Amino acid sequence: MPHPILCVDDSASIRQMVTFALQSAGYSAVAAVDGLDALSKLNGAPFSLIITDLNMPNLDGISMIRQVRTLSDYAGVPIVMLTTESDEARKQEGKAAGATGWLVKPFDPAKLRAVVAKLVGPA
Amino acid sequence: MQTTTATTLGQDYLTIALDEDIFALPVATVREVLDPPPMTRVPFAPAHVPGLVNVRGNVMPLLDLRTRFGMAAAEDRETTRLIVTHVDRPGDPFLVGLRADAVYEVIDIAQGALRPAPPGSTRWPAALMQGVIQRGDRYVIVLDLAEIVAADAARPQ
Amino acid sequence: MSLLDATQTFLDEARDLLEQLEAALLDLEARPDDAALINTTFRALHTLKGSGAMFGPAEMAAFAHHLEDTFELVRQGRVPLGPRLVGVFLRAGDHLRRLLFTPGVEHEAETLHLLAALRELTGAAPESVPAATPLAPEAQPDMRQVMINLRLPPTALAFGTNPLALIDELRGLGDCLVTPLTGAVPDLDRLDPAQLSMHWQMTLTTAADRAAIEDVFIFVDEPGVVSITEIAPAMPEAPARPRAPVDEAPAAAPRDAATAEPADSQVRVSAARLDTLLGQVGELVIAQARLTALAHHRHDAALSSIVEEVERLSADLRDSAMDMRMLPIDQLFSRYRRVVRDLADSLKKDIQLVLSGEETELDKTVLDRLGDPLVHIIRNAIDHGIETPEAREAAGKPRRGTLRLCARQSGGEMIITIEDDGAGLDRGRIRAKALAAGIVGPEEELTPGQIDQLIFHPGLSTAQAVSSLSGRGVGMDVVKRTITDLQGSIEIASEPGRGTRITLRLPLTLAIIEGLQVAIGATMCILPVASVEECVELAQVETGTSSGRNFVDIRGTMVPLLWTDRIFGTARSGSVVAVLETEGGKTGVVVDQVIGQHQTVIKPLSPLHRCVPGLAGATILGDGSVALILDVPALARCQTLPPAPARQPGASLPHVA
Repeated sequence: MPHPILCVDDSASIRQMVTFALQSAGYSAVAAVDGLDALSKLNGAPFSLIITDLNMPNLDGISMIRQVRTLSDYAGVPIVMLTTESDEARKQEGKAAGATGWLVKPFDPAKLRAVVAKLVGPA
Repeated sequence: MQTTTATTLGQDYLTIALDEDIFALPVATVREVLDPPPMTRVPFAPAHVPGLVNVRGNVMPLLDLRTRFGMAAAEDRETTRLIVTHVDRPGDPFLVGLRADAVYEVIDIAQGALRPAPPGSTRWPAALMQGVIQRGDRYVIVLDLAEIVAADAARPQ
Repeated sequence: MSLLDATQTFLDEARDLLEQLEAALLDLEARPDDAALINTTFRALHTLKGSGAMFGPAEMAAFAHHLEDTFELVRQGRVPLGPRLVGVFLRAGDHLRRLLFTPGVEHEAETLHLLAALRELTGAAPESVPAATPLAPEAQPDMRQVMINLRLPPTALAFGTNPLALIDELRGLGDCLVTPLTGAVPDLDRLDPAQLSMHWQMTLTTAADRAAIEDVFIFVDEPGVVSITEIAPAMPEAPARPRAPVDEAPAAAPRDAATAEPADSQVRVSAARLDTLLGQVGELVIAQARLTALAHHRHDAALSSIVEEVERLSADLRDSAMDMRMLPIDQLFSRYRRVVRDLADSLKKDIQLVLSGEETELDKTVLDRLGDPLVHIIRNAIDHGIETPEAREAAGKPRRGTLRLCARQSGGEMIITIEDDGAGLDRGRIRAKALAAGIVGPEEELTPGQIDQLIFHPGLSTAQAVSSLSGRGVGMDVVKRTITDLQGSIEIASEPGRGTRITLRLPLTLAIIEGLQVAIGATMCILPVASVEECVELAQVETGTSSGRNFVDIRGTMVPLLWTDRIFGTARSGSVVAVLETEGGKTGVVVDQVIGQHQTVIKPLSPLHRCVPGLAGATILGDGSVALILDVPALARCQTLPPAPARQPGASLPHVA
């Protein structure tokens, strides 16, 4: 059984959609509402993937990615960022910070599952 | 020994520590303060600029203030900091990372408060100081950045 | 079921966001500069757009997108947030609510009305969607062979990329022969398992099209990481056109110079193929160094003579490949014709682009990195520099503005100027923005030149700016940093009403050298590949001493050795000799390990280190550490000096028979 996937987004509807899409595909998922919440949810616990929005209050996605990449527990754990089509600069910034891949909003559950399967394998 | 603009205008200074003494640098020249990054040693380099560091893609010399002041070298400690400082040498500006034992705070030095160091008040070379100011019962030594990074300082320790 | 749930959640969320939006806008009316309020507003619009595109009506998401783009102008300080604009945004918020909660009613008229009002107040043209790069549909044969080179950055593993998963995915597309390239993998005792140093080369026989292969590597899109090359280029020839009778050519049309070109003078090579070639030449040079070492060990005359031949050939090949890196700057300039046309169109401006010096050649790497900064400068000139035809006419200028892009070579420098005859920099606005951002004090006196320099200040140019041209936002500070990284400089001169000129000075080739990375103790150093003749194992060559100096015998030539352990104060002497041919003759530099060949960007030294003998510059390695670029002749001269100050007492002297 793979470790759970952490979904970080300040939008409740996106959180719900992502966690449901993952759970229905057999993954387990944990949700966080912003970067700070994500760091406290991580807190050394094993996760197989982090999916995060970028524009969030308290701690934005890119700063969170940077912080996660300083933690040896999460070296090698893939991070997928959720971007919008106009966010090319942010995407590059996210990659430089340590993101592994991205998903462009809007996306549907099938696309999400394809990306997750690519990075962590099937559930 | 030198007139400076600092004696005519109030200015913000960053205070730092070397051993027990407190020194000050004009805040306007400071770009950032960080934990010392890993340094690459440069063979044949003057003892007070032993190597190079990478700060956000800029390669800059690390200048060890302790060595510059003739103090014994010291290992990095919890409080050791690198103060990235811009040296505005005409036609040849550059960045240098000053290594200090600790960084304290920003203080405002009022107009006219800076005085030449009274003879015998400090054990440090007068050439490296713009002067001193008194804070409570202590002297704060204001550094002369241009003199500290002067090229002819390449004499061995 | 679940999506319905999410839709319901979104409606609740949107209700909250609309309330936040309204409250923030009302507060902004009183405090238009409050950054927190601006961010709250922006985030509300951003989420309404992003989540709305997934769970809300399409018209609502599209409208929110427009609002976000417009508000981005406010966020960047490009458009002041006056009471009228707040009013329109408030009405737009109401409209979002209608679009969300009373769907099915005709809302389009109001949408258009509000967008027009926003345009009028912000002067922003509707962002044109960047045209996708037209991809000629390639007719693919059934089975093809494709060579794929994968060179992931050293941080790839730590950043969550699994190269083996990528290779497995590729295997799913067809028959795949995988060759691991371990040339850059250090010895076991130096191996950092968290850093990726291995590369892969794969030959894939597949029916899948290029897009499917590119899809495998979708997340590793940094330049140079993946190269995909058709081995058996199955490009179907365009059917030969029947020769048109001459008199059918339109008489008025000028003859296209290109059609007059002899057929065999030029071959166009894709950048990806050139990169592949350069990568392979690099691998070859390293492999050849190993072969040379082996051949000397064998003492086989026949083998040695072949090896020498291979050596000479690979050196020639390397020179030719390096020469191919010099490309005419036209490669860049010609891209900008379209950029200028499209942007001028969208801004309703009349602009002619005048190019000169397109044939000037520049190193490919410099050229590649110059692309984005130049687009940004050109965009600025069109966006903010050149006025509308009406404004130009009113100012007594020709209706048509001129943008001049000029390249020329002067000494060892490439000078590129971008010059417009527009309104010049708006110094009042720049100063006001700098004041608002706290970059300059209210009482600070600034010369016009100093104000112009402010546009390069990181606090002034917002890196978030969305460019409709490149789709990638960069600020002038990023432009300046890129140019500085290339060891170049950027200058700006502007005259109100007359125009602005930006001058870039770049070294032709100096900024980048092919470097051989070697380890001396824990210090990483770079030797210029151009002067490295070969690398040999110290144990495999004869050494001797003459008048106090150590020599090695390289095929009968006595080459003096440079013991870097004495200079760097390392605990033991190295075991590999890099033989360099320099103006002072040959020198054998003794190092611990040869790491590999890299393109090296030279970072200049500060005055504090400029006089240090033997140091030509520095560079930053993939892991962020600083490597020293060595000046070997100068180091060799130092060796005759008394023991180096850096030398540790007790460092063992190399013993040589």
